[in-house]
Amino acid sequence: MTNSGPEITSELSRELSLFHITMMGLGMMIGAGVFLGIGNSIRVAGPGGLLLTFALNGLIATFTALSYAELSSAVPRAGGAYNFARLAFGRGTSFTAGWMEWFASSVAGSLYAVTFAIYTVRFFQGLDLLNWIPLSTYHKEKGVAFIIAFFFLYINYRGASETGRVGAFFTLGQTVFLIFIGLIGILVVIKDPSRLENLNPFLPLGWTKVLITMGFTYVAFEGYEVIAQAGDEAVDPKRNLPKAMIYSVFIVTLTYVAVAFASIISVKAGSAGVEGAPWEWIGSFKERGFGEAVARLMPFGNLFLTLAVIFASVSALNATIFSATRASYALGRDRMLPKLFSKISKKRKTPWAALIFTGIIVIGVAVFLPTMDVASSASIMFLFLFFLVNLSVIKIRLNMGDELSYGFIMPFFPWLPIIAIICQGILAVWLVHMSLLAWIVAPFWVLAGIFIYRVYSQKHAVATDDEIRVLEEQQAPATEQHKIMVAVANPENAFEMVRTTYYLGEAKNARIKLLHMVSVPEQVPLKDAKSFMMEGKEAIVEAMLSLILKFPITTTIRYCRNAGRGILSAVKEKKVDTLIMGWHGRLRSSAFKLGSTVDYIIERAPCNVVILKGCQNREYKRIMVPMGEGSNSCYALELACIIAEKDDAEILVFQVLDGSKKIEEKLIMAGFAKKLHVNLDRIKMKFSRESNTVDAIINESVHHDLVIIGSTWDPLIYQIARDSISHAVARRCEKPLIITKASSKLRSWIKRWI
Amino acid sequence: MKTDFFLGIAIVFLSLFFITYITIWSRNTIERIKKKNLHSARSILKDLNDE
Repeated sequence: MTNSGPEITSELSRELSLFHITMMGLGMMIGAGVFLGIGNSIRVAGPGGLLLTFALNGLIATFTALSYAELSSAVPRAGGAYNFARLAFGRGTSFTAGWMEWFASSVAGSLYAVTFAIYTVRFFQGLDLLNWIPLSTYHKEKGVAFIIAFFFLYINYRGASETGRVGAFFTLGQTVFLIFIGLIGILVVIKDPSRLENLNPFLPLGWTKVLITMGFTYVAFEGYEVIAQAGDEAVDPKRNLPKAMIYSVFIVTLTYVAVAFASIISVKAGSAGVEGAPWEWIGSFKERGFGEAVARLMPFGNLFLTLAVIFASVSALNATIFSATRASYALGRDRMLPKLFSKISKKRKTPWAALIFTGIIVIGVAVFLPTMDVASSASIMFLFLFFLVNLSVIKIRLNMGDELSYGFIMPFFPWLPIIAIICQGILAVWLVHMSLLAWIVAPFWVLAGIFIYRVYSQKHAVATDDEIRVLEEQQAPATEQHKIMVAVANPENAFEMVRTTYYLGEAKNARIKLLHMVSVPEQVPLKDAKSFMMEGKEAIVEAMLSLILKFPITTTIRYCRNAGRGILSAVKEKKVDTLIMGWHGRLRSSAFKLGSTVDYIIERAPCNVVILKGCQNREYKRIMVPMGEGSNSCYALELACIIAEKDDAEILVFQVLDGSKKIEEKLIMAGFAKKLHVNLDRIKMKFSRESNTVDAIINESVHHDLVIIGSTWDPLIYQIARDSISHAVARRCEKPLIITKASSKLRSWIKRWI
Repeated sequence: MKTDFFLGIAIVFLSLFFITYITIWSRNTIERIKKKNLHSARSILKDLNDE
């Protein structure tokens, strides 16, 4: 006997506001990086180098934040980079992304736990409050690291709202403190402008040193991943996630530059205890340089700084535990890791199992391993993740821009992600100089991930809503013949495509692939898609009956969320040479030229495309080919010649010329003969000098029973600004019409890979 | 040395200016998309272009 009661599902609580998630991002950024980085940066790159380090890192971080913002607004689910990589590159890459993300965030959490422990133990030992514990300083630090890590694991278990509130409280404290330091710096300069002399020499050791300091302070800008992880728990995520990412990078960059400036002018040259130039004096304290600068800048500076470091460490620890837990939860949710990782506490609505495994890594690394080297490997993995996210934003916008619902899109696309990829590549390579062990640990973790994926994840991973799956497939033997794919939508549509397919298939000695994409509505789970198959089967059978006697045929029925993307996926997978599909001629949205599917296919298909509108299963005797420049028009004429040979038809090549342009009919005909190897007796030419090309073509088309026009398709950016002749003709022409697009070998190869 | 100073300061301020500009532009774009209930990248680009 089975239990047939209603299905009960668990979900994460949606409680985090814009303020909470912005603070979580800031909390992850303002960690140990800035406090330890200022002293070292000024020592290596000088006063100007310090300012440039934070300003330029902020700029690069902004570019990646824009990529994260765009993707998070379109895919607002827990998982961050893991989700984006899955959508863009598939399961293997996304598993590696999630796997790296889990490790990087966990180990960063260990670093923050240890930083907290070091500063806390020093502070209390300074007050003689820890001397009664019979342990060495090292073991006291490890003990405190364990306690604080455990405490924040519990806070994360308590729930999203508590996590956000506690984190927000600490982050607000440290941010206010840093802004306060920056303001004091400005006030000091207003009072004593001579301190600006501390900026001279600006770059005493040269420009190249800035690259080094940018590398080891970049960790202070890695906060948007944790915001992306809050996708399932943020209120109004399409609006708040991108805002929080951009706001947090903006706030953090201004704060860092202000704090760096305050540090530079904190001491006056020649004052008591200051040896050499002020920047050399601050730099001589290395990691403690910022502390010494703040102690000189304001009364009780040491106390405030200790409090700030404690605030910073715990808020960063909180944010990284949150991020790591969500990363492993997402892997469990999609069965890339065992189902246990996706278990959610009924009482707290938090992923308790993912939290336990994350806790084991955080506490284990904090207590037992050399944290700094492993933390460097975490930085490398963060940078790898950012490459992947910047690549993903390009690929997803190009391939899925029409079907995803965006809450934000970045400006200057795709140049900003490309610049970010190049800059972060340089920084990642530079980390070799910081920690060789990191470049051993990081590949080891990645290889372990690949092994787990091969052994476990590949077998158990479930299909997400965005994936396309083959329902039913009948294969013909593989040959090197020309491959024509006919995308069949419904039985009527199938019938009208048969004749053109037949003619083209015979001319090219082709193999025919019949494809029916079953579009499954979002409301219907993909597992129930089989109920949509019957209609597709009818259409396939209709087309098959007419073609099977002549050609080797393959039939496929697939289901997907978006027909355009599904067809394109099949075209790429089957290495199709020519795609034939129908267009109903109606336009549902003004945002598209010929409809969401046809626009998508013409833009992206890496093969020849033939779009049929209103073509009946009949003979054509008068074919008109409006001729422009380029390969698409030539392909239109080639197709016209194939049809004309079969139907014994006449072809009129129609060209609209500028007023001053000379008519060179013989030259054009000679060109056709050379390029197309066709019988020129069937072709006649007609020229028009009308000012409106579209009107001229439409007026001429009434005398013909078929119009074949090459697509005049521009890149997306130009399409928005202007309409093309072929689009306008296609929409207005009342005669049967065929739109063609030819694909060159190079263009086809690029499109298959991007 | 003076060239380094002026060039460096210019880079710092240009970076901060660009980040500020991007932040304000992004905020306005997010609100605009929300207000006009736009969805696809194409429709958003079209709307931004029509601005």
